[in-house]
Amino acid sequence: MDDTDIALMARIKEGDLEAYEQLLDRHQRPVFNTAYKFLNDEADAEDITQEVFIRVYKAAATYKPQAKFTTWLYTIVKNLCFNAIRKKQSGRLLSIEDETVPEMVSPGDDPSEMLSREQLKRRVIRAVNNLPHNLRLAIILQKFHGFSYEEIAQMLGCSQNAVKLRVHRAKQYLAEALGTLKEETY
Amino acid sequence: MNCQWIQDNLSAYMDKELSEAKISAIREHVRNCTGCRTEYERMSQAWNVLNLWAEIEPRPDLRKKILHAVQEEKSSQWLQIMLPAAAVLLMAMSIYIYVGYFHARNDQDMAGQTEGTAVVTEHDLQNVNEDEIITHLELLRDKDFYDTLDTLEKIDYLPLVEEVMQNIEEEQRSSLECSLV
Ligand SMILES: [Zn+2]
Repeated sequence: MDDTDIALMARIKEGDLEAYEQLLDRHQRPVFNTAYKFLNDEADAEDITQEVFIRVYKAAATYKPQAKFTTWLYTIVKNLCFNAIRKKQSGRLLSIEDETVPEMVSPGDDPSEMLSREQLKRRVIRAVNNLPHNLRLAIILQKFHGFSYEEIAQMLGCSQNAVKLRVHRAKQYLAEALGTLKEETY
Repeated sequence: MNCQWIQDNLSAYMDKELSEAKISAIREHVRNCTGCRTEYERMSQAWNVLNLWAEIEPRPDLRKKILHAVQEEKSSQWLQIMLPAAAVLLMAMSIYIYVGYFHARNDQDMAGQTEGTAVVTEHDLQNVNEDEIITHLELLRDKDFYDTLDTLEKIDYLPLVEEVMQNIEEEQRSSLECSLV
């Protein structure tokens, strides 16, 4: 019962709902968390997760394993997340393609301050949410899923070099946002 | 490998997205260069703080909602396949019934037409003996046939057999009377 994702997709194509449940149980939580971290909204993340897995089911009939299943899966996640963002900010000027790292408003306060874990967590989440969408998704996929730059490049539809640059700039921004931290605070 | 190159590649170094040779070179440089080491520590600290942002569990009814939606999708896919098939079947049945009705009506009409009058049907024509036709055609090539036709046309009156017999009897009687006289 330890089928690969591609084997499960083949079974789903034949109408096997048990295989679908297995695939869902394997990927539902990480997909949900990706959307949740990207959108910072639980309800929106649930809607996206539901839509992702309905699309997976619908696509099973024509699915051709050309890349890793997760690369394909997270390309769907990325598209739906970007659509959701576009809807949310319709009328605003900032576009998905904009990669300008925002100016630091409060750079780390006192660099040596002792922060509680909760404060630190809030600060890092706020910093991630301030990142341009492409950078934000790149670090979520890299940090929380361990995807390679190559896989992320396929998901985001850009070059590996672009991913390298995005992740690098995102890390620099986070470092600036958090300031120099005392080791015992995390 | 200057400090700028090292710092530009610190992130890829942390993510192990460089060749083994470059990784060892950067490791060596960072150990010996205070500026690059500070930058590396700053970045990796921030990166590690992200670990505080733990995953959360989706609500249990999300799974149910997804499975329910997929069940509905499966039913609608089934309908999408079955509806056209049913439509084709229905159309075929309608045509079959209509054609059957049309034939029945035609047969009835034909029966009505043939009741009083003799109608030569194609079927009858097909049954005409071919030899008979050939014989008739050969007659037309025969000269005697036309002479006979001429003779027949010139006859105004053709006596009946009874009349001929009566004439013969009368002739015989009168000759007998003559011989007696
Ligand atoms: Zn250096």
